[in-house]
Amino acid sequence: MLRIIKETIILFVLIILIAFIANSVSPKRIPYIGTWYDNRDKIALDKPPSYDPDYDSLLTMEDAFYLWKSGDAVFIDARDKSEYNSGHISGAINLPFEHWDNYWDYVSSLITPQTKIVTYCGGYNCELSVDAARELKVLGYPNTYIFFNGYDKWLELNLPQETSSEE
Amino acid sequence: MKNKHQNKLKLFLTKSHWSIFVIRLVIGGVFIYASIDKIMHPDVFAKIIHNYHLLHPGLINLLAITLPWFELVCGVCLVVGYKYRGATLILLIMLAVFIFALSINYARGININCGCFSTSRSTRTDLLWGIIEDIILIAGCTIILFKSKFKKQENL
Repeated sequence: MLRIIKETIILFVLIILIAFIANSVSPKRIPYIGTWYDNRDKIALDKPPSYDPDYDSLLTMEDAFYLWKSGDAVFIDARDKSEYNSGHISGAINLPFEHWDNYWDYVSSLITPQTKIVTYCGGYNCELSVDAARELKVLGYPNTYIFFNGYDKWLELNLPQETSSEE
Repeated sequence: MKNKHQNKLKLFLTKSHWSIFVIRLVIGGVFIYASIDKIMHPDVFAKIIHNYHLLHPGLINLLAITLPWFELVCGVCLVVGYKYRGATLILLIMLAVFIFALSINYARGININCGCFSTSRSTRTDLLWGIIEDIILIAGCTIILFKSKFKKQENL
């Protein structure tokens, strides 16, 4: 048992050293102390895990539906292409957050800074819609709203969806 | 001397030895696989840790920097057999902490991206399944620790 504990301590020190050295030379290094806000007491149900009430504008199911019905907003599906192709809200355009640059030229040609934009993805742990909305606000599209867990809510009510074929 | 070598060979070829070797390979492989994406994207992994709503802000980046390396190095130790008992003990402690963190958020009812194997923001995770996976891994680690202790006693 003593030998195991000894091995554990040696490995522990070694790994900490490796991690710190790797982080200091990595092109993707992050600061050792981040600038996170303390969220330990801020748990919101049915909201994105990283929800920031001062910055994120969430839409309810009803608001999203009426915006969609009125045709006043552009719906952006922030999921991957394969998920988008297998089913999305009717009329929504695809802007996969993780492949932003490949899609941005096309999407930016369809919107103006005045356009109402609704971003969505699917699942309570999917934050692509949040990330996409934040990015759009930074890029100068202030009327951007998050329809959190939007696709799942849309499916649940069997509202109009469509599929796309692979290009 | 010859007998000693024969005994060692017998021990090497016993079923128990091979099953431990296979468990070590599987668990080591799982942790190596789990670490790669986190090492590649420490910023995204830090955000996932923040979403757990459990840690003091000052500890989030430190954990995002070190945890994937614990997974990688301990995984490699298990695969190659270098200081693998110590590595197994570290993994056992880590798995217990993972289960604690996942269970708290499962009980709270918030659905976070577990960040177990991927930092992809589109990944859907079932927290309950994550807990079950960790329990299976804990069982495997416990077998490695106990069997290796048993093997040592057999040698004496």
